[in-house]
Amino acid sequence: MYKYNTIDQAIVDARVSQFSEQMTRYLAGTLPEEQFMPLRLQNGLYIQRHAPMLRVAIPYGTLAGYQLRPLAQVARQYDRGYGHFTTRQNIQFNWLALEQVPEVLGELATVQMHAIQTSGACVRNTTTDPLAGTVPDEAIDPRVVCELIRQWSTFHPEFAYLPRKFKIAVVATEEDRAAIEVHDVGIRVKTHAIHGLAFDLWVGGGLGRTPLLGHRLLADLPLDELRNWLTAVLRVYNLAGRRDNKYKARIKILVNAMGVEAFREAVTHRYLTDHDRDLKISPETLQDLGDSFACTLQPRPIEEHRGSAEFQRWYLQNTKPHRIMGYRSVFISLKRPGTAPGDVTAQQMDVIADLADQFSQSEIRTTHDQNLILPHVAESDLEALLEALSAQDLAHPNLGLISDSIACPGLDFCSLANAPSLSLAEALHDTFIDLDEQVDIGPLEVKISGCMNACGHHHIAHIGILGVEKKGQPWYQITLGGRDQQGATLGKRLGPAVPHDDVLPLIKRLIDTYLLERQAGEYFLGFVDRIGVDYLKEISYATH
Amino acid sequence: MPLINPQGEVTALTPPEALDTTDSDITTAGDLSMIAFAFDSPVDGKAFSAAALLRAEGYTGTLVGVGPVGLDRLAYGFRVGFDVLELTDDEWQHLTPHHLSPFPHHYQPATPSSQPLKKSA
Repeated sequence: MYKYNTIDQAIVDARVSQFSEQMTRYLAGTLPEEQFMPLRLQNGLYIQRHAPMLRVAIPYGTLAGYQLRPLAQVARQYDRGYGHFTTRQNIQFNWLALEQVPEVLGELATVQMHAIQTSGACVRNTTTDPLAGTVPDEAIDPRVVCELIRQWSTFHPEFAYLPRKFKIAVVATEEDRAAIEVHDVGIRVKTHAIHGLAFDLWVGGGLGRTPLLGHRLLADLPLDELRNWLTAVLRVYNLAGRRDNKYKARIKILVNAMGVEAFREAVTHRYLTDHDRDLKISPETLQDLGDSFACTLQPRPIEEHRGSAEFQRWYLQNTKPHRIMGYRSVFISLKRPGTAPGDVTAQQMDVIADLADQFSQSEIRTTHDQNLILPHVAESDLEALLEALSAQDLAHPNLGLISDSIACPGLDFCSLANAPSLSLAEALHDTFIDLDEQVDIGPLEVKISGCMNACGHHHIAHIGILGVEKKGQPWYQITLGGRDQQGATLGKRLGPAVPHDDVLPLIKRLIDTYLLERQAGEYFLGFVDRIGVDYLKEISYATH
Repeated sequence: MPLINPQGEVTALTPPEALDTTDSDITTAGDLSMIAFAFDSPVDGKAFSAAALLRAEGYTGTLVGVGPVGLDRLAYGFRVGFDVLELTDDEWQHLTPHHLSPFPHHYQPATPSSQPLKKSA
C-alpha cells in the first residue's frame, strides 16, 4: 500500500502545528467561534451531544497494522476504550476532550494518520471498492486514482470553502462496490482502446434530504486528464452553487437547477478554457502509484477445508475469493449482538492489527457497511485466523445477512438526530436470533438513519429505516427496494411512519411474507421488485 | 482595515468597492487594472474560484479580496492568485509568517499572480 513520502509527512506534520495554533487562538478567545467552526470541521472535529467527536481519515479505506494500533491507543487513552468505523470508511471517536485533540493528532501524524478534510464544505475522503486489489477484473487498482485525488484535493486552495461538502467515489470494475451513483462525483475507470485507461464521470448523486442518483455526465475521458476535469466540475460548482440555503447547496441541486445539458456544457467550457497542463497525470506517476499498491502474493495450492461446521459457516459467509490462487479476503463483521454497528474496542483493534501483520500482509480495509476486511489471507491460515477472531468476538458469521445492518449513531450521540438508530440495529439481532434463519432469508441489507440527513444511507437499502419526529416522539418510515450497486435505485416508501416498538414486528411480517411467497432462488430484493411495494404495504400494515 | 500582500505587509492600495462576484469572465474583466472580490462570510469561498479562474484565463491585473478572509485563509487566497487580502486590525496584530505559509509543500500547481505590490510607506 502507499506509504507517505517525506513531502506527505511534512504536510501532515504542518497540519498538526497549524491546528494546534488555531485551537490555542480559539481557547484564548482571539478566534471567534464563527471562524473556528470551519477550521475545526475541516479537521474532523464536531461538537456533539455529549462531547466533541473526532473523525479520523482512513484514505480510501486502507490501513496498515502499524496505523491501527495507535488508533487503539487513542481509544484507550483519550476515549472510552472504543472507536466507531463509519459508512465512509473512516473512524470516529466520540468522547474526546476538545483541548486534547491537537495532542491526539500529533500522535496519529507519526503513523501518517490525520483528520484532514474529514468534515466541512470541502473535498472529503475519497471512497472506493473495499476489495480493491483483490478482485480479478480491475482496469487499475482504484486506490491509485483515489491517492491521486487525495493529493490533489488536500488543502486545495480553491476548493477548501465550497458551498457544501463534496464526496467522490471511485471504482475500476463493472460491479460497483462503492455506490458511485450516490456521490457528488462518481468515477468509473476502465480500459480503453485509444486512451489505455479512461473514466466515466457521474455527477450530482447524493443521499440526505434530497436523495438523487447521479447523471453520467461524460464518458471515455482519458484518465490522465482526471484532475483537469475535476477542477472544471468543482470550479463550476464553487462559482454557481447556492450558498443561501445549506439544504440546497450540494452539487446535485445545482445540476438539477441548471439541467444536465447546461451543466455538461459549463464543465466542458471550463475544461477547455482553463486547462492546466501541470494537472495532467504522467505515466510515471501512475506507474509509481500502481507499484506502491501492487500485491506481491505468490499463488498457493488451493486447500480443501474439512473444518468444523462453525468453520464452514464462517468460510461461506465471511470470506470471499481472491484473485490470487490460494488466498481469500476475510470480512470481520462489526455487527454483533450487544454492540453498536461499527464499534470496535481498543483491545480488538490491537488484535486485528496483529492478525493483519501475521496473516494479511499487514493490510486492513474498512467497508461502507461498517465492517473490516483482512484482504490477503492464505487459505491455509484460515482456521488459525478464525480461532483468533472468535476469541475476540470478531467471527460473527452474518456478513450480508439481515443482522449485518448499518446505522448512524442516531439520537444516542448525534445532535441532529430525531430518533435512535442503534436500538433498532440491536432489535434486529434480538428478532432474528437464529443464524440458520438469517441464512435462509439470504442476502438482505437493512440501513438505519436517525434523521433525514441519511447518514445511515437508508435510501439505498433493501429495507431502509428513517427516524422522524412526530409530536416529540421518535417514529420511523420504512422504504423498500433501494440498492447502491449497478442499476442503483432509491427505496420506495412503504407507508405511514410507525412508532419505535412497531418497527421490528413490521419487518418480521415483511420477511415472513417473503419466506412464504418467494420463488425458488429469489432473494428479498428480487421479491420486492417482482411483487411490488403496494402489495407489501397491505401485508405490513394489516394489524394496524 | 489593513490590506495584506503575500509577504504579510500592509499595502498602500485603496481598494475599489467590491464588484459583483457572479461575473468573473476574462472577456469583461480583461481591461480592468484591478478587481476586488468580496468574501461574504468566513465560510464563503466563491471568490477563491473567481480569482483562480481569472488567473487561469490570463488576467494580469490586481486582485483584491475583502471581507472576512481571516488569518487562516490568507495562504489559500494568495495561492489562487489574490495580490491583496483584507484583515481586521485585530487579525493583523496576530499575523505570523505561519499564517502566510502554513505548509512546506503543495500538491497543486501554483497560480500565477500579478506583479508584487509594494508595501505602504
